[in-house]
Amino acid sequence: MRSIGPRPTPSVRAATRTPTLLAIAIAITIGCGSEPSRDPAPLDRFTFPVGLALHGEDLLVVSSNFDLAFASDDGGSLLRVTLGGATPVIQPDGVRIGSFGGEVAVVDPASCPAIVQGAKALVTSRFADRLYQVGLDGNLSCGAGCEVPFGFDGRLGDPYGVGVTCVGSATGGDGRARAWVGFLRTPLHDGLVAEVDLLNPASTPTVFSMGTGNVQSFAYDAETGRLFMTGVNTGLSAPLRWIEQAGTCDPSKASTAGGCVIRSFDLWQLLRGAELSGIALSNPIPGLPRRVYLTARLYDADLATTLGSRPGSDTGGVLLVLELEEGANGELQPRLVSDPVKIGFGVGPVRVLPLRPGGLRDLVAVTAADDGELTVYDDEAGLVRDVFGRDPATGVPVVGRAPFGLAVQDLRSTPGTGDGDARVFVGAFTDGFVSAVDVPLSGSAAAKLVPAADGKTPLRIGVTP
Amino acid sequence: MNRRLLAGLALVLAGGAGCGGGGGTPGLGLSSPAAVALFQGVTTKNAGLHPYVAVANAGKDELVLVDAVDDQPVLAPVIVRPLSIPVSEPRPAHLVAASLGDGKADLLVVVSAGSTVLQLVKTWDADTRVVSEVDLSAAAGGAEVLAVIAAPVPVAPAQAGGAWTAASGRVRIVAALSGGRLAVVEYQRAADGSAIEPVGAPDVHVQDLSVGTDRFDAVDLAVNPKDPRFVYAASTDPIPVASTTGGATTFVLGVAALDATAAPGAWTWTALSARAPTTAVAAWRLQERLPDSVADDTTAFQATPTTPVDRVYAALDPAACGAQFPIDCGVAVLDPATGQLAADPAGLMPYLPPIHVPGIPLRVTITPPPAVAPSDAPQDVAPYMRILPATGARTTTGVAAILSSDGHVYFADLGRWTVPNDASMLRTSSSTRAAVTAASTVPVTGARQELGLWDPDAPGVLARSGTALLRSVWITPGFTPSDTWSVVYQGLLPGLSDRRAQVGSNGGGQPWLAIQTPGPAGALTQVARLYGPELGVHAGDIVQLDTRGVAGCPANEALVEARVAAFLAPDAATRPGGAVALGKLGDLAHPEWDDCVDALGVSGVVSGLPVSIRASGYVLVGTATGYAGRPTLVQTPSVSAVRSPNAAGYDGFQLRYQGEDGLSCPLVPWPANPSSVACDDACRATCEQLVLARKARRFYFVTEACAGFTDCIGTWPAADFDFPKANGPVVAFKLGLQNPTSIPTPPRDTSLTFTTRSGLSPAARGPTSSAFAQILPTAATTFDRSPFKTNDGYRFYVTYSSGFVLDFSPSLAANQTVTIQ
Repeated sequence: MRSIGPRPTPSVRAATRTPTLLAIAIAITIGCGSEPSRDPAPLDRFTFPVGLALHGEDLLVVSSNFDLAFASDDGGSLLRVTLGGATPVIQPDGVRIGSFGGEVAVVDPASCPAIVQGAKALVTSRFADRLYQVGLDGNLSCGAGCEVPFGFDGRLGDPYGVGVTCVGSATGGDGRARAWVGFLRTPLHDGLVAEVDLLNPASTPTVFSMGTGNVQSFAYDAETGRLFMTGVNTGLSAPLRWIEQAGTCDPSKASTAGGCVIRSFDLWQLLRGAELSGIALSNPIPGLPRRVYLTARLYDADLATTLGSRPGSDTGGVLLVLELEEGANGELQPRLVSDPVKIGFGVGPVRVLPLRPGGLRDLVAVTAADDGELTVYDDEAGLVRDVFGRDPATGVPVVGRAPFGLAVQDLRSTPGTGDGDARVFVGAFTDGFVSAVDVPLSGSAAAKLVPAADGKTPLRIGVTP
Repeated sequence: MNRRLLAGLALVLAGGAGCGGGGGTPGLGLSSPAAVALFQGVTTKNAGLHPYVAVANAGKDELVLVDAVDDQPVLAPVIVRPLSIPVSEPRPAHLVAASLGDGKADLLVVVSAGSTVLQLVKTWDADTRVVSEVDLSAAAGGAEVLAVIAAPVPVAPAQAGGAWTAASGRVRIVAALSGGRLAVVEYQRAADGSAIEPVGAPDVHVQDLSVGTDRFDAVDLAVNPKDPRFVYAASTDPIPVASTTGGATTFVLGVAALDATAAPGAWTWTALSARAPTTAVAAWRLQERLPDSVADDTTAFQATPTTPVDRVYAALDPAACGAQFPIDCGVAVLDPATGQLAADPAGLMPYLPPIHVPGIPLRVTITPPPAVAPSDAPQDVAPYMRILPATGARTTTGVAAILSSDGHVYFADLGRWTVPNDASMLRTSSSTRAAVTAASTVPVTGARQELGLWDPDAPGVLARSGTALLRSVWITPGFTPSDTWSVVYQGLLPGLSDRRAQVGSNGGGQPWLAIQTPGPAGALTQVARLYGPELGVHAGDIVQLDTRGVAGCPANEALVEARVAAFLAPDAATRPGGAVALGKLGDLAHPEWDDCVDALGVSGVVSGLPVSIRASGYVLVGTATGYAGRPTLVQTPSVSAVRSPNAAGYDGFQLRYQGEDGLSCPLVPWPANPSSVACDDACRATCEQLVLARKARRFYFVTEACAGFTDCIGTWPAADFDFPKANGPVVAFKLGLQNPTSIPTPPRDTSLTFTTRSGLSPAARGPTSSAFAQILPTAATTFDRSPFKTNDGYRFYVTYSSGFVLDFSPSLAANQTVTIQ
């Protein structure tokens, strides 16, 4: 037992935040009357980081230039951070992209034999309305065929989420590698998706609709060929949708004409007022059905009914865990396996940590940007294991005021096996840095912030000491 | 601009606006409230001990307090905002309060998300804050708290034989821990006579919830205040139970009853079978209604001094309940005396149907009757209490608030095992009355043949429209759900339309067909379990295949047809759901179809063939219910005068419950290794009976009377509907054909549809203002305000993640609900 003295109250902590809020308000006010900068994106720091991904020993970070402090056309960037040394270092070979970058996905020959051109990072820019295929072998590069513009179809606006599907081997002559891009701005919120052939960069993407509601994020089950996706602006519903890609089908056609079957499961029947956001699939564990982890923002469903659309404000955020089992008729029948896990306001991306030892179900990382929290959920125990938010003593947001992007690194000596730690990288959107948390996969100890080289302060990649 | 910034600006604006205005009480500033507890303690708001509601304000890492008598916040010294009690770890998630039985301040403990630390809050003087912590991790490494409750401490550690005396000045905290463990920490009144402190160093007693290597996690805990010998634990795991005779360990799905009379750390347990895993639990002692009573008053219940019964109420795991499982979803009512579900008072089902709740039940919280009755009338005095659904006041003996994922808080009449209705199920004046609301025949375009139903009130007349058709469908309130039904001749079987199939040869020239698709990695996906009974496939059913491109099959016909000749057992590698052997249809107009069957019988495996399966005759399908059986025609000469399906000699079709425990099917649930399971025709018939019986369970006890309403009496004559015991079919009817002689077989897809309405309108309470979003209730506690304000009665406090607390009493009208923000 330990005794505890009085602590700063939240009102005190709120008072300490007030100058910051005012500063932001002033900055916004000043910004309204000033000309935007024409400078291209800096390549030595992050500006409103969004998407994060791992490639080998490199961390890839998408900067969004959200405040348009730099030129809109090339004010965003994809930067590479080497993690192998004592201190993570932002490399100077970053690639500039359009502003308002989105998600980033990595595809390489190791995970997708059909990719013969080498590893690529696939990243979207909402401002530039395109997908970038950035080469990852050697220095980052964006050469011929790197940019896939979506201007050919006037309906496509704000590309954001990126998914990858890969079938077969190029050497077998039957390889397929596709990038799937979702759009957040389309006429009548039509859920348009672009299918990009990664083996034929010159081809025009195929565009088709998933139904009402803009598609946000993707997750692919390579075992069953199901490509799952979440959506926003879906009306008074919260559909988890997927394309049944097993077999030979063309998703651009109707299912009765050789197209792929598109199915959905409405989570409103389980939780009124839910709007799905992030998505991740569980690791395959022998003997256990696959699960899907979904973050959902909650809003006032009654008000939405009155308005006929989603109100602008949230009422909370949750993590939903669904088991993916086929029913008697062979159709997927997702089943909620626990109460919605309360996370906080502004839930966004979700990432599954590497396979745990002993056949344990997964650990899952989730960010809540508005509440400034990183949460680690333990699906084996069915509860929240760790929360990183404000320091209870100082009120300092330990992973930034608006943690958003996530990437996970397997730190085990032989990644994928045995016990050890996983490192979760968290991008701080408003603060422009990336911090890291080490999570013991066995669950034997609490997760902890990764310290900087001085061993005292938390690691903050992108912040000059 | 993010939400916090908006909130900050709003505060500034509000502050500015306030400069010129009057005062007013500040709000609680709730952000994602996660837990709530009621305690007696001391604060700056009131002199001496007083009841308060503590709210875990998770989004702000604090506790805030509300005066439980006037619902006003306890203010901070600066009086511009409520008192904040910061917690030492982020996101407080659990709160528990309990009396030490000595008339002094209560224990209040908070636990944060992902933590094993019990944070003790000072309640005994106005310096309200966290004063000490007990970290359970030293005794339970790697654990986290799943649930926490308080329980009294027996005077002696091992009082047997049912004796129990709670020790004064002591109380236990029982924490369910991950990893299948349980921790008990005892608190006591300190030597100064006011403070509370953990006993010992503190002493943390941890035990494994395991038998050998088999363990279970407790996900919720409860104590019956009238019998605190047991701590009940809900679990989503099979609960291992050690044999008392040295036999093998048995496993039970349901609730564990931990014997708390033993020393902490050495509790043993039995298990109460709920037929499914459980996610939440509560316990109570009460009197239940008489099996044949529909009375609203005390006469409905076992007359005192009849011994009341102990009951355990458990929310069933939504992943393992429903029509595909041994029990429907809802809140199960368990009898700890038998270790089983309580008995069905209607004598039909082998167990009491669970209390039906819309959405997924998240928490169950039970309140006692008010200490001060609102009147001297017998029905208002304990053990009786009042509930007030919109249908009018009733007397009951126990009330539970059930928090649902649909955002509502339903209140259950535990004495009647139901959530009362807000509108009558029986009276015609009610817009939600159980009824057949629409019915029509749907002939095939151009055909001169229609289906109809034999009118029970006009023997020999085939009803094909209007009220005659409506009344020709028999329904049973409490069994009949809201659904739209179709009777279709050679209709498509649910879930088996436009699917993808593999077809191959069994080597003997006869083709097999399996609905399945090879996945990208080679494993088979979208596997329909044709060998199982759920899909309702029968031998002789019609298979429609698009075989264009298959050698030997018509190149220009979109569909060829064949018959289901036999069922083939599953093979894990090639046909994990089993298959059907295809036989020739023998349609003289289409000899090429039979040729195609021959061709398929000698071909290799062909994948991706579009396929649909149709019934060979009539099939009943409900939009929500799915496959519901195979009606047959009742020919005119044989129409019986027996109009009630509850009477002997009824010759119509009925979807009706039958004892599911007496129906053994090796394919339900689908076995882990189905290839080793044989199921012949008789077995398949039994399996189908089981599948249909599970779709015909009772889901509600109708405990209302027609009470002189003639329309009600006419619709539900007592001879046929002896509520509340009225058992009957989900739907029943006598199917007829318009021109049976001239056109004995109608065109395919000739159909008749009707729509049924359950009549359920579950009573719930919510904010009276639309300004509050009813999204995700998180926790509930009870408070008896009657000693302070007699008319306020018993109360529930419910926290909503959307940022408010609901204060209501089911004994009062819905418009008297209070919302605290």
